[in-house]
Amino acid sequence: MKHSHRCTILSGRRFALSALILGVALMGCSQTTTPLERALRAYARGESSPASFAIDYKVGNGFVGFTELTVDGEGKGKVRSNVTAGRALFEESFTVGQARVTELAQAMIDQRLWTLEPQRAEGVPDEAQASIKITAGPDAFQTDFWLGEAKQTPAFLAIQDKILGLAREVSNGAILDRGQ
Amino acid sequence: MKSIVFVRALALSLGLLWLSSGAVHAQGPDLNRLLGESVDRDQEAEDAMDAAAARLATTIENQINGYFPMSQHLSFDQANCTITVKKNIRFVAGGDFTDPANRADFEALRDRMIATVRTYLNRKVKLTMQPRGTAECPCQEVHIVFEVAVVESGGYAVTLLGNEHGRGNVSTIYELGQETEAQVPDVYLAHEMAHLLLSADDEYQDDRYPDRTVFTDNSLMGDFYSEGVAAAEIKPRHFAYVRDWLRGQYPDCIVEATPE
Repeated sequence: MKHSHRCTILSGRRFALSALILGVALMGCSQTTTPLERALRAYARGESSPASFAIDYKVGNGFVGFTELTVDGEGKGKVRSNVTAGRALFEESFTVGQARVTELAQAMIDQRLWTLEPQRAEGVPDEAQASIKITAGPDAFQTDFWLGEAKQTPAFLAIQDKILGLAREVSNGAILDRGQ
Repeated sequence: MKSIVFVRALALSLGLLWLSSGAVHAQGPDLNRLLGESVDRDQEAEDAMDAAAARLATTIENQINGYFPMSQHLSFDQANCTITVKKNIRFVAGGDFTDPANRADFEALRDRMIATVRTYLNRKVKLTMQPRGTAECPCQEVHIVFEVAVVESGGYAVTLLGNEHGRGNVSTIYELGQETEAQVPDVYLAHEMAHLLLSADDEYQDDRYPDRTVFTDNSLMGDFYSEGVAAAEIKPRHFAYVRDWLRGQYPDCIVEATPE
């Protein structure tokens, strides 16, 4: 199930009841965390099953160059990219320590990924997108940025740098992508 | 001293002459009314000329990839059987190009981008005109050329980013090309020019656009990186709106786009 992380406030028929519900709802909104934040924090604290947690990242397409990286909470992953010397396709499975994945999750917490919302529905012709998808059990949360917007969003760039850093690391430098 | 007086007098006379000519011009409509029938005939001739000019030139609003607005100005020179497609483009300096010291590099990239129009687009596709029945067509073959007008205000803005790598798009060109390139290649610049001048759709695979029609026939709008840069070319289908415009102007002629 794909989630949006916003509070929805419903009003009742009667004013008093509506006010009560509104008050409770507002309190709830101001105090509770979003599902994405909860999922990231639970994984980072070791409170959720690593096997049911995953990070999927993708930038670009075959024409402008693409890099895809998938890693689960236990550190098993796969990377594909043609942003390499001579645009040769690089594809490899890898395993890293769980701490390395926790590092990525922590970067998302530090940069408050759940607050990042793109403004544009469409890109200009040839503009590529970068996507970060978090899967936690049955839930999935996806954030897509057109690169022009991503460039103006330092928090997204900071997360992307960490993910592409892992891609470069597990490919021993074969992947050259910097997400621009 | 005499020469100064003379110059001042001359300037004053010219100024008065200019003012008086403006006054006569302002009275034009009244004079026209006095002139009666002959003015009506002139007006008819003028209207006919306007209609002919409209028939020969227009601005067309297009959409790239079915959603992105882009317009071009078309004019048809019947005497030379040539259609000129014109676009005003405002090139904006970005990245290191904002440093005045790098102005020459900015202009070099701008000029290289414009030069790709000659290499990849000019006279690559022509329109043929054949009469239906006894109708007459102004030309048998119509050549298509392009004109990029560099403007300082208005027009379509294309930002050129100096000394930066990145994935470009129709509005943003990175001087150094993608991470795997040392400089943005001409073929890529031509691809963007085809968007700007022809509103040509993209024809490469992109999961974001599952409904896109993908071509793998060495199209300039396709994935020439995997198909071969040297073979990339503009196709007659990319001139559909120019063809359709001419068809609209000459419904008694069969108009088709074919390679030159």
